[in-house]
Amino acid sequence: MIEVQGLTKHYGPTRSLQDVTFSVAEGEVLGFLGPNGAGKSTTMKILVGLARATSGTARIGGFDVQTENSRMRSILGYLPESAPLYGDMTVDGFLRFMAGLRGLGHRDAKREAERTTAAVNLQKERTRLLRNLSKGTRQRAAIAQALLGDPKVLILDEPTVGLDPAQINDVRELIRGMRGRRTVILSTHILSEVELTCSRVAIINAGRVIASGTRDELIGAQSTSLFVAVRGEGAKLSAAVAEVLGVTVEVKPQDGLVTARVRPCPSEADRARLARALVAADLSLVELRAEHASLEDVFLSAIGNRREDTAA
Amino acid sequence: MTTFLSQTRLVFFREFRALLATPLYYVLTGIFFLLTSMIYLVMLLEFVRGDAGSTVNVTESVVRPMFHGVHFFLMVQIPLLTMRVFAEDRSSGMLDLLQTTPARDWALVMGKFLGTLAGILLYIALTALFPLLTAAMGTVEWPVIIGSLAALVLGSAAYIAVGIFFSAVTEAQVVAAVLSYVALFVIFFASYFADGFQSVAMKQAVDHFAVMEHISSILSGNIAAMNVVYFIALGSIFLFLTARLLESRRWSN
Repeated sequence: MIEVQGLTKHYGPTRSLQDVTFSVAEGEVLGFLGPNGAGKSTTMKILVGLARATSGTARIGGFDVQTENSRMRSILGYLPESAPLYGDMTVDGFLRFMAGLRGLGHRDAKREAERTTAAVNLQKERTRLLRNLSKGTRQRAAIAQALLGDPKVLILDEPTVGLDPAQINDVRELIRGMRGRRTVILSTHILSEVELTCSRVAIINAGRVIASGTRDELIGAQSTSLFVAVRGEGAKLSAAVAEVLGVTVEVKPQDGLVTARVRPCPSEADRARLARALVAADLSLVELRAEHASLEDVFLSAIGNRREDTAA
Repeated sequence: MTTFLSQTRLVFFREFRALLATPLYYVLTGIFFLLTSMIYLVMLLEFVRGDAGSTVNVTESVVRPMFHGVHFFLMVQIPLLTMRVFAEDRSSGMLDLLQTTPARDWALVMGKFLGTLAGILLYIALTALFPLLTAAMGTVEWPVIIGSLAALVLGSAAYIAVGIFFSAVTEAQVVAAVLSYVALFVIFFASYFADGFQSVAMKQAVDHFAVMEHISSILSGNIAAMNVVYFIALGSIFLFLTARLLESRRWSN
């Protein structure tokens, strides 16, 4: 549904995006993850047709975002980062106005305004002026605006900024509920948001996509490890590990214990054999733990690698 | 086409309501009405005293000078009303949102233009009260008055188009107003700059470009096609430039 190929964007001598490539299949929710200033908003702006790439192409629903922009906009719902609204309009008036601009007739616009206010739980505030509402409530009205006309593709730039924890949970539930029904790109720098709502992740840093895939794929690509802590001699620990797993490990003293970390994490059967070998070697086994990388580890590792590359 | 008209209508009502919700609109309306009343009263008193001469009628002596004053007030006030039209949307990010809907840029431009023009038409309608008042006291030349009102509408529409263009140029409303004043000043007094040209053809061309020549002519009752075409062309050029400017945001960012 969304195909981005080799997007590069220069602002004068500054290269904001470099060869950004990713795709989003129909019904997928892609988390576009990156630190502040990584190039997320620039990519979003190019996708919605508010900026032009220096080179590369982007297609949404088969429409080129630059040359077939007006047709592309008919299937797009967009929430900009600043979540703009007309403060002098009521929630209902604003949604009906925006629905009309999306080409909906009077009745359809009224129906869509009702449906989207219900979707973001704003029914009680429908007749209130937007400028008199809290930031979180205005943010929800802005999200409702993006849902008008049931667009096939949704691009949400930092949708939970300014919301309280309960509202954040509601919005995440809403986005999660779109999986399989709409194609969504969710731009954020909040890791938990991606973990809870997205079916796939693309990590961008310094204008480049440095990792992409499902959460499990990304975490799987990151090496897992086995942590072992015993009370006893370090030499016995390393000998047992070498005998059972056939690898050499570095043994470290830690809080009166002797510890070692084995990468990658061996199978469950090997772990059981290792436990028996340690006990047989007259070591007191204190801890034997398989450690799995989190998305945060993947993210920090990817950014760290990139920073090291850049520095080199 | 139907969708375009429907989107233009939506933006028109939104803009008109936004204008009426702006306190500045009422402040300017008050000042406008006060100044127009003062001019009218001064001219009327002069006419009653007979200072205006015996050969001219009340339309020539009172109503027409008042319309010249009204035209000046409109030129001063319109940039203050148009400065927010696009600049506010640009700074709030609303313009980004509007431009990602299927609405065409022309629908946004025309809707905002017509919405602002509707607000100014209320101003001009206020000035029609004075000829009505005069008619109650004596005979007025209605064709001349209607022509003058039409001239004010035409001139205002052109000045609004100029103001809206500069409002789309910048996010800063004050800068938009200042640029509009400079542009209107140059267009109004272009004939003064014409003297600087050696070529007669160039002088004539610049003379034709000047608002002053056309508005003086049209407010004097000379509703020639040339004058009408001039204001329509001036407004159309700036509306076209505004639409192009909005479109350029898509490829220049």
